[in-house]
Amino acid sequence: MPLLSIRNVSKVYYPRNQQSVLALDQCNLDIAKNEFCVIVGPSGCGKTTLLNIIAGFENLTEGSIVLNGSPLAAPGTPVSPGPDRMVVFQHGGLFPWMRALENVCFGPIARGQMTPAEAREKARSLMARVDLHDMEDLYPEDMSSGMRRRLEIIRSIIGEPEILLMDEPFRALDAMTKAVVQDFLLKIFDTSPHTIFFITHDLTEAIFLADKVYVMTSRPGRLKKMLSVNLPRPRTLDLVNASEFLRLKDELTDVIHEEAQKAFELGEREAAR
Amino acid sequence: MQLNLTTPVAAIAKPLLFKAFVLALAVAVWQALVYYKVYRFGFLPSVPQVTVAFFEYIPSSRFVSDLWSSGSRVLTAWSLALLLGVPLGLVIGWKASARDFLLPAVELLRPIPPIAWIPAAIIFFPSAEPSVVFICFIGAFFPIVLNTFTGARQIDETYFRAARCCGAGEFYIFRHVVLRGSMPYIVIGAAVGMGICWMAVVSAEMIAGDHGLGYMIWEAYSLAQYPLIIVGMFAIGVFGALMSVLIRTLEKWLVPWQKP
Amino acid sequence: MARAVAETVIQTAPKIMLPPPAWKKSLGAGARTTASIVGLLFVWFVIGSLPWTIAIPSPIASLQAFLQLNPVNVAIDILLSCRRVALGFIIATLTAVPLGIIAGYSRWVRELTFPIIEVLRPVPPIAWIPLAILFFPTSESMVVFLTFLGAFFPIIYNTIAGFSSIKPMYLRSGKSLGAGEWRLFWHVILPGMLPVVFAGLQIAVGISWLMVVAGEMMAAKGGIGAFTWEAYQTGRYPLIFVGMAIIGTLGSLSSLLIRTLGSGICRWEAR
Repeated sequence: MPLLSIRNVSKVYYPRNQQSVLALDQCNLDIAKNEFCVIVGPSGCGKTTLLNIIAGFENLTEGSIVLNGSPLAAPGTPVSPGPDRMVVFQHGGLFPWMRALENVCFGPIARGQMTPAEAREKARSLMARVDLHDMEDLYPEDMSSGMRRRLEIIRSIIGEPEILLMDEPFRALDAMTKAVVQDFLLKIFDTSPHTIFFITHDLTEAIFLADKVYVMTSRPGRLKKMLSVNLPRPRTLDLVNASEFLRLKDELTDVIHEEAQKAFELGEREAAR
Repeated sequence: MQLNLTTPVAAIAKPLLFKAFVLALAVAVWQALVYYKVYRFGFLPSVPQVTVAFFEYIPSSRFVSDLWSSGSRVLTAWSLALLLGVPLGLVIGWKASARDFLLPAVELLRPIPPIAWIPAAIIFFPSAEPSVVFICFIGAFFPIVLNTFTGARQIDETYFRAARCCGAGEFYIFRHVVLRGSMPYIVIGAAVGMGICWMAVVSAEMIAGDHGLGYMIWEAYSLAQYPLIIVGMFAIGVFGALMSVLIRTLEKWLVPWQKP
Repeated sequence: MARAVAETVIQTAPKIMLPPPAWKKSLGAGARTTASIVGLLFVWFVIGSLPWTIAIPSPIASLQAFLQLNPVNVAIDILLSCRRVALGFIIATLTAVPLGIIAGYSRWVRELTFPIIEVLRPVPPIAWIPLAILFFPTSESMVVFLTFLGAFFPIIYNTIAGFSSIKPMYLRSGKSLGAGEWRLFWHVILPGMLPVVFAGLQIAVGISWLMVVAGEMMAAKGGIGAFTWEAYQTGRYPLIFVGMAIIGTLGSLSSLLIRTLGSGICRWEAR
């Protein structure tokens, strides 16, 4: 049985005084336990909408989502985010007014899962494992973007969620930092397995990280194609030159190129209107 | 300003000296205008008169009691305004339903300046003391509410999502996201509120008070002790500036995460 | 591959396309706004009927008092106050904005005026009233001076802040495009600082209203402040609340005027 199963999920937006928009159309997706699942697609295709629905930030119009055998979302039911699905946000979700350690401890203390002392101890050990141990008194503002991303990932795994939802977390990073943080994420994934739902528009990143890559079309957002990535783990950066990697990338490029073109033309037409 | 550890004393002293020179020049111009009775400047007190009044009034016990009356009124009113205004601003910024119910009433009362409340305060309260405090409260309350409200509204939705994702309950979100996220704006509101409070205390004491620095100025005018007016204005200005410096200092401590 | 794409993109309309009723939502918001104002009136009514506050008239009594007023007299008072605010505010704008711009350009002007402004600014404009009464020959010029004084400091502060808020990048790109000093001022500096200046004007007009009320209550003849004060002195308490309502309305109308003017001129600003 899959850990998370998404069945026939559709989402319609009703903007004020405008035509309704079909953002997601009949999406079907299964994620097995400890699977790294990546969604790629052009910007505006509805990837984030799907993630928000799983996270419980938005409700869905049709379909159902089941996590670990219990229903998570159905039309008409109120949305409910929870610590079983932790989100790593696109623009960063660390609280700017809390120091690093307090940010990491926030979840476990907020829901009374740990006492403050326990939470601090666990946060310290996690941070020490990823070389952030001397950062605990810094505010996010005072850290580099790579450190912030790593800290946010630590914050989202401290409470041991069922699934990690990552919304283009490395989008704003420069290439060097990105490589470092990707490596960091893979290390975490390899040492203590997690189920990860990851959104990106970077194909190399998608193949490098994923067990499975799904391609999403835009307007309406549909899951169009699935590629299994059977590259061995642990993965290192020189993998990107392997022939299997290049073949997968070629295949993915073909699909995504058409989609990007379509999305671009659609955007142009909308802008002209 | 150079970031040099061995900044010569002269580099700091020179602008200060220049400032002092400019101020001395301004005082000299004032004295000349009064002395030669240019236009109606002859009616105003001269520099020596003000200096004499300054050294008579400032060391006197009356100054201490005036300052104490005005200062305690301002602090009482300002604290009350913070106590009521901050929670109100946070709630209307955070919850749309509370906003719809409360914001129109706030917006309706806000444009009425504190001074226009004076007659109503006099007829409502049995004595002068609570009416003066009430006027100051009105002055501080609206800037505090509106700045806090703005602060709560500008908190990015991401932080609310992150907090709910972490499993935080409503009260925990209020305490650790809404309140702490609005803090920079609350401090601004507190500073603006303090300024208007200080202005309101002067006007309320002039019109309805029986002691305090504002009353002192008005009494000096009524008794034709004109030099004392300027001493009073000076005292009011200095203590107003001191209070805003105090809030600036508190800001560093309350909002340590925001770089100036 | 291309065919596969064509096949998957079949335009199927999903079954559920009924939008949630939007009218219901906006009606709800309107009802809550009304409830808010009715609630405020109710609080006023309750305060007025407390046994120890006999002096506070009810909203109805105030409305009746308002209806019984001679509209010509009220209009004269309103126009008088408006004239005083407008004069002081316009003089303050015409002096503070150019002074702020000159201070932005010239270090000498800045260093000669700033110490004086810094010393005078913490003195609340109301504390100037006794001196203003002494100095000005007529109460009319005195009140205009007070509204001017109230408006002057916020305007000059925001003008200077607006001047220094212009990003050097815009100045550099203007210069590299070959703009001279004059063109740079009209097309880069002035539009760049205007939104901040308008924010200052908005604060200033509020303080001008505060000052006109203070001046009229304490020393001037006529005007809406004097109207309110006389209502108190002659024991016609319902008129106090009429006066407050008129003052509040005029204040928010002038603030609205400045805001409309500002957003009309600074169209590139978001919102």
